[in-house]
Amino acid sequence: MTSVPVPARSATSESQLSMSHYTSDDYMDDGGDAFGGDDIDTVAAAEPEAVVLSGLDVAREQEQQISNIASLFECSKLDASIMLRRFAWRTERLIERFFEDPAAVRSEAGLREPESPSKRHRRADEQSSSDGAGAAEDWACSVCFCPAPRDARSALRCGHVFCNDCWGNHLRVQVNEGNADKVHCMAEGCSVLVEPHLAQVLLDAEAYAKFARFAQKQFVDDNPYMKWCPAVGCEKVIKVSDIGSCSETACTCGMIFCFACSREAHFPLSCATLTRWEDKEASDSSTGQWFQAHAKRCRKCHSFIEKNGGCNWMRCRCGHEFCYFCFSTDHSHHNQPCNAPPPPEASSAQTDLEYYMHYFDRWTGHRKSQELEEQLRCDAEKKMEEMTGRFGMRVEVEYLRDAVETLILCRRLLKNTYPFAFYMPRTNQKFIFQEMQGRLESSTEKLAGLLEAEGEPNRQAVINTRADAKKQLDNMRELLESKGEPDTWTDSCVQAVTLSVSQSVSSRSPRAHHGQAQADEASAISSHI
Amino acid sequence: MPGCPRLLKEYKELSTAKPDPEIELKLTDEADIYQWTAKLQGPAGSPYEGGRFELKIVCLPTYPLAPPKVTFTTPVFHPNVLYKTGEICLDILKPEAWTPAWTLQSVCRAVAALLSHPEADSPLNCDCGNLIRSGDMRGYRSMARMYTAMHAGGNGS
Repeated sequence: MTSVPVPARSATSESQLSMSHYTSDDYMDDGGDAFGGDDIDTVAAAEPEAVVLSGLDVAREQEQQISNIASLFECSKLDASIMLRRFAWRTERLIERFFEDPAAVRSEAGLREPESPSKRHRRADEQSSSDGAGAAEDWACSVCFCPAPRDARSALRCGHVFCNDCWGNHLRVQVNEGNADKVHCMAEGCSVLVEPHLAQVLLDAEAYAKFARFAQKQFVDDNPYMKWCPAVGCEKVIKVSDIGSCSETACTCGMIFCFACSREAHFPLSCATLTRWEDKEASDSSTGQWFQAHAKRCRKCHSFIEKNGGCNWMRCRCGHEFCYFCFSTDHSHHNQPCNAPPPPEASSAQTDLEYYMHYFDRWTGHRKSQELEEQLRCDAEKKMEEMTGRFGMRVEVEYLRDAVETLILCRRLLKNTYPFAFYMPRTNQKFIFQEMQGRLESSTEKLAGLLEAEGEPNRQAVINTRADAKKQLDNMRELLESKGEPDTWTDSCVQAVTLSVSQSVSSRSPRAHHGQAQADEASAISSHI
Repeated sequence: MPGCPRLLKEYKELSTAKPDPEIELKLTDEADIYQWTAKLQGPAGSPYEGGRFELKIVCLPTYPLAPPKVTFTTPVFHPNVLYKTGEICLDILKPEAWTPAWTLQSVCRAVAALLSHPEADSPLNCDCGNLIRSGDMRGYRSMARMYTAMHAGGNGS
């Protein structure tokens, strides 16, 4: 992420109106409203980082991955899809392993030497007749123990024959458990996966639709480059080209979320710090206390996990495995005792509470403001309609929308800086940080005041205040981006930050009256050192 | 769902087959095909030898596609059995590892095998697991023998 993503709106950006690309830097451009749903545009943006996909696109994407592997490995699409599913759609790993040892990959995926379907049926028949003491009529399904005619039996490529009723029931039970992509053969110890076409033949339309839906869900869940949009009711999927570089991701529905943890975008907080903060907040409520007593969060997908029995080696639905006590992911830890005491925490309850409440109050306050300001979007839209009627030019009133969007961005960042500051040690660094936080806060409040005022807004004042707020937002982002987690802000690196802040201020304030602010800031910083 | 016919078949096979001296598997109530009771003979050579352990087996209508719920009704001192409730930690009884090819008879055999092969690394009974993990096999065996004598009619020797 670089600076604040507010691109200039101009007539030349018209082509973006129908595109579905959202790089993290142009998500303010909400022209995606006009976006029809199914077309993937790959021309407009210079370097696409994130693409919004609908259900059909996802199916196409899946088909594409299968075809790529099929042509690369020179095998059938069916084999390719089975290998991909076995490797949880991690294409790179599959390709790497396949070229190391194709036979091992094939056998791991339960694939035997390629054979024609007719031969397979013949083999299944042979086996069933040898199973059933010679006469085919004596054959009984080893699941329901009932006989079934030859045409009502099926086998996967492993050759374990069961009756179609049992296959159908097996699939239905698995789908109800939420599993569709990785249904195994029913034979003991057999890991061959059920091929989707068998489900299509054996299930009725309704059950198959459910099966297909779950299979697609698993495909997206398994795929490290894809995430469901976390907005309520939104069924879009976001695909990114690089996992590391795109933590803030925007959907066409307007949701901006963190790609790693699927929560609302939370810069400057890392996913782990946000979880720490949420847990701390939750510990005061009774629901939170229940969660603390009965559940823990998966460190990978951050969902709550309740231990419902068995040993302490947990497996989350996202596939992450860990020790319930110490969160170690080391499989060998599984066999070790887990009783090392945590490092002692020096604390005095009273001051700790006051310190926490300071940040907590501000965090909840800004969160509430953010909710209200998101409603301002509609109000601004109405005002703009009204004013367009009078001025006749839509362009003339667009400043209002830009101002509301900037306000929301400022508010969100401001909100998140409070938990961030909570975890920061009390150093000179924190002092500088608080200075900038204060400036961001006052310009945000000023902008909010202007936008919430009744009647027609003062155009020039709104434009100026927005510019100022945006500058503070950029400065804050720049400061935060140059550093890591809050607890690493120590005084040893204060010099470097001072430099980078004053440089950034000077390079970003072309106007004369900002020169004074810059000088003030520089002196405040140096006097503090 | 195939539960009923499959269980009827298992019932029929059990009543015609030669009785297994180590596993006695019966319907809890002759009118309910889904509720079973098993009596296991403590495996020879294990500290449970000489005891008779009762299991409660409840099958869901989705059986055999979903695993049956199996618990000990006789208290057992074993790392993978919760002493209070009789809950058993055994992979094949979990939906992920269960396959419909298992029968009630084979499940009982698996539970008997668990008695002779305690798995101390995933304990439900932590005290018992700790005894084994710390290498105090003598302590574990004598505790298990004592509980077997107390609850399962073992002679404690």
